[in-house]
Amino acid sequence: MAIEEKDNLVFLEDEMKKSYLSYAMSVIVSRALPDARDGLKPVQRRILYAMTELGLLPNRPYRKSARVTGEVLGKLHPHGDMAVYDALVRMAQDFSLRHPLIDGQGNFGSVDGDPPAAMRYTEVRLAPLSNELLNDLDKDTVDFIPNFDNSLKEPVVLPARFPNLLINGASGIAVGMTTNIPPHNLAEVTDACIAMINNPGITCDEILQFVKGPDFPTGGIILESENLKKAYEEGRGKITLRGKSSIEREDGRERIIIEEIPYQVNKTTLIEKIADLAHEEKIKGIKTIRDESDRTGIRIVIEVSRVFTSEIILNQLYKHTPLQTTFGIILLAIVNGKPEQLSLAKAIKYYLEHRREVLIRRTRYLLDKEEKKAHILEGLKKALSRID
Amino acid sequence: MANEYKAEQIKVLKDLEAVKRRPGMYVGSTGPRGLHHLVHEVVDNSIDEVLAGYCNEIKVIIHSDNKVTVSDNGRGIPVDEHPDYKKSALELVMTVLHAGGKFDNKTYRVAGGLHGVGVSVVNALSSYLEATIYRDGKIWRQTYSRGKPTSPVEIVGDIDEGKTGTKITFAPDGEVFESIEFEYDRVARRLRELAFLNAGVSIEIKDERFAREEKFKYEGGIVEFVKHLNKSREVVFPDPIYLQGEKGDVQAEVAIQYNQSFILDIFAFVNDINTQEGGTHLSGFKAALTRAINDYAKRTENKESILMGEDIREGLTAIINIKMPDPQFEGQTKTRLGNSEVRGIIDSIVYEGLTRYFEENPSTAKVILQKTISASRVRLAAQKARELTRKKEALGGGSMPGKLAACSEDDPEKNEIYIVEGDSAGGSAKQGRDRKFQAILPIKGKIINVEKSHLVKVLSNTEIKAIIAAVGTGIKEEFNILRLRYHKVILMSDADVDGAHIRTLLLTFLYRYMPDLIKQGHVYIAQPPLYKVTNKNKECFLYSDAELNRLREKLKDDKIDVQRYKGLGEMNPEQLWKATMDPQTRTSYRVTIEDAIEANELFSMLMGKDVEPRRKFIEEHATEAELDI
Repeated sequence: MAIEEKDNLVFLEDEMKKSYLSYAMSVIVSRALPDARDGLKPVQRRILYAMTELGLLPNRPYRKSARVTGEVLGKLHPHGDMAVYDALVRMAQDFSLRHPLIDGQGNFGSVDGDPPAAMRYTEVRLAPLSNELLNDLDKDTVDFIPNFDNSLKEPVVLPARFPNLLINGASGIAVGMTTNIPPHNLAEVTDACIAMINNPGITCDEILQFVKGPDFPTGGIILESENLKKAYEEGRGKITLRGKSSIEREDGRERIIIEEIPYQVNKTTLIEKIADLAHEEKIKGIKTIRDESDRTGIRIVIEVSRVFTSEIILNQLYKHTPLQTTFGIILLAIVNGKPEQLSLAKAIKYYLEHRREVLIRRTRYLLDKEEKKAHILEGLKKALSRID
Repeated sequence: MANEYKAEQIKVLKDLEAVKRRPGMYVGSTGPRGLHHLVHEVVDNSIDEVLAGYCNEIKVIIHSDNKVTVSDNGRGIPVDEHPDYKKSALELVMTVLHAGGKFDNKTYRVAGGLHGVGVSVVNALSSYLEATIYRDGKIWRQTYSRGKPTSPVEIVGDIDEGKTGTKITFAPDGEVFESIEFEYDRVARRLRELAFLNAGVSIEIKDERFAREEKFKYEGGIVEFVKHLNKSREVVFPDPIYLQGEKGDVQAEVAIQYNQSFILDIFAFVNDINTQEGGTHLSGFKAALTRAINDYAKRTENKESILMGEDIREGLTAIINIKMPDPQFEGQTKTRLGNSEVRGIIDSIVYEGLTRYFEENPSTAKVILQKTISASRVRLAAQKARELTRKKEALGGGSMPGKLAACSEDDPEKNEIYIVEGDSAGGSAKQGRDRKFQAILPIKGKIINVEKSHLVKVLSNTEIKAIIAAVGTGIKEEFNILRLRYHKVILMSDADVDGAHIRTLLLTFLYRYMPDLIKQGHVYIAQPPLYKVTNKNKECFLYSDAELNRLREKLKDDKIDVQRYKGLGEMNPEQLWKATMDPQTRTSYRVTIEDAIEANELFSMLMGKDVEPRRKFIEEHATEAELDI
């Protein structure tokens, strides 16, 4: 039967290069890394934009997450539904984002690593802070591009009235590169922005007067400030993060109380790890461990046997369990369509440049509008003057 | 070497017109491959001078107008008159096919451009060519156009008596080649390879278009070649083993190093030609390596060894470099060495050399032994696992994966299997196919990256197991092309970037586990359409943005309806059949390997464990990527 068809050839090497490059670059530029201006990955931006379009404002009732996910999938983001829902959930978690961008109703998971409820159960609306990211979107402040099937338009970046990249941080694994930006304190970063507006040549040391370091939503303590400074200067470095604990004494008994755990540490795994170590007697002197966390916050209680010293046990916990972790800071974000490793100063600078442009465009837009209005009024005046 | 290299040594065999009529036959194709072959041919001429021992410097310049200059400091092509033809030897070499010194065994002991088509072919396929010869204290020049001389052989200047060389500048014929744009990387790669294979020769490349230049000179020769191949891998011992020997006219050298991957890389060169299909030298090397290591194991471990060839070759990187007169090439692409005497020569050089090396370097010998013994353990474990799955499948009745939708025809030659991304596309394909000869195997999501995972883990992966069972040939050493159940293995993934990623993962698996499937041309890539355009009740499928733009221009005023396909699942079965599966109308590409060494490097770089080389590659080529937002 041998079907005759023209024999097109493709070289394995060329095919590999071409396919791999388009995959790698797409993941880098438009999937895994945040934009330096609004600190959002495309999927996050699309979720926020779709939610404003749906009118899910902070003062309106919640709507089912499934509706938002469907809206994002159908209009803007032609990928898997779980990817969209996971991104949506993360933006609502107060232990993942310093200032959640989405106000969630229902189970959105916990520090124990419990999964969120399915999207047919949970409900969402925009958090008040998101308004600040989206504000002025309708005043020609940013560019819009066609969506995947050319039927709608979507913003390439949000106006972003606060420096979201630094405030909420980001983490993402692209191809050949990753990003891991810790969250920061809103007031501190805002002060740093103002300082840079007043003094564009501000040095990293001077910025660090305002920004003391990351501000994790889960609390904790950062050791070694020298490494931190280096990380902010070069955009890359490791810092050591420790949970917050105290020692309670009662009837000559001691117990260690852990009230804050390091960022992105799963509380259940931490407790399991401690229990394992106690069980294997790698750490001696732990009598029991209880998780007394409730709606007021985290509280892990470790009962210490009489003859042992709590401080020593605590040091062993730091060494052998995720009660102390390293956080590898990589300030990598997309600048002008290319990934760039940023220093703290550059991150602020790019943000300020973006704001400047937004303000200029908004002003021009408003002026334009007023001029048109003036033109009509001018006309009306003339018309009126000739009525008689 | 007292033989004179003068006009008498040039023999003429054939006419040049044929080249212009069928360029593909002489340079491979009229695409980029053929274009770059021109440079190779000219450089090979210079390399012949290197092999003869008269040249140690070669320079290649890509000019801004895509002309290329190749110059060397060899003896220079003879310019005196040929006694039989009454023409300058230079003109004969440049204008007559199969004219060259290489057919006279005395002048060149060994030579690479063995078919001797050489530079005359380049001349025939160049709109302009200028040959400058430095010889006997004079500078000679002749110019040509499309193989015909446009000037006589003239003396255009004087030069120091001792200085000799050849300089050839040519502009490829734009009417012959699809594109005359040279790729720097492609040229540089071959030059680097030649520099590795000819230790001590300096080869420079300069690209005037992008102001790039590099100089390749490797005193270490193939030892540095092996290091280069292993640069993105973790090696077992730092310095490659180097063995070398000479018997009769055959010179052979071998460099060996082990790395921690599970990959085997042996490249064998004869007179600088990569013998991709192997041959006597390769089988001699493999046999000797296995014997030498087994004997050493017997001596030191004092027990009967059971190390198989595949254990010994796991993680092996080796270069075999042979220089010999009159190599006989066989096989489909004329890249299998047939000279049977070479087997014995290599065998004894490698066996004796390795045995001595092991005695002198017991610590290196020990790590090699450990590595091969652990490989054999893993192999036995994997074998057991495989046998176990086989038994299980036997019990379950039939060894075919449940998801495979088989075809009804029995003859593998007529049959095709589509490996399809995702169950949703698999459903469309199943309904849209011709069930007589088309089988469908849906693969879920992104399959495991075999470059980063060990054999045992790879073989326990459901998707991989399904592919292996469906294809039927077995893998690695057990591969048997006669058991192939489908002569066309077609990879069909979505026309988006994730589809591209899945394609690379599948190709990596096939290349590492069933390389012969690709080498023998059984692997195809289906091209699903990007757009469906409807205009006045007529439908057509478009495969690229360029096609869409062309159509838009053609139908300027007509209203057209464009649907962008993001996934195969978006298509109706009937559409899928028409656009990608019907042999009459579909577009598919057969995958071939152009350069085994580059392919091999690419796979380790793109898919391997080491991130840094990958990042560098992405940064360098970022602008070439087609983005999908």
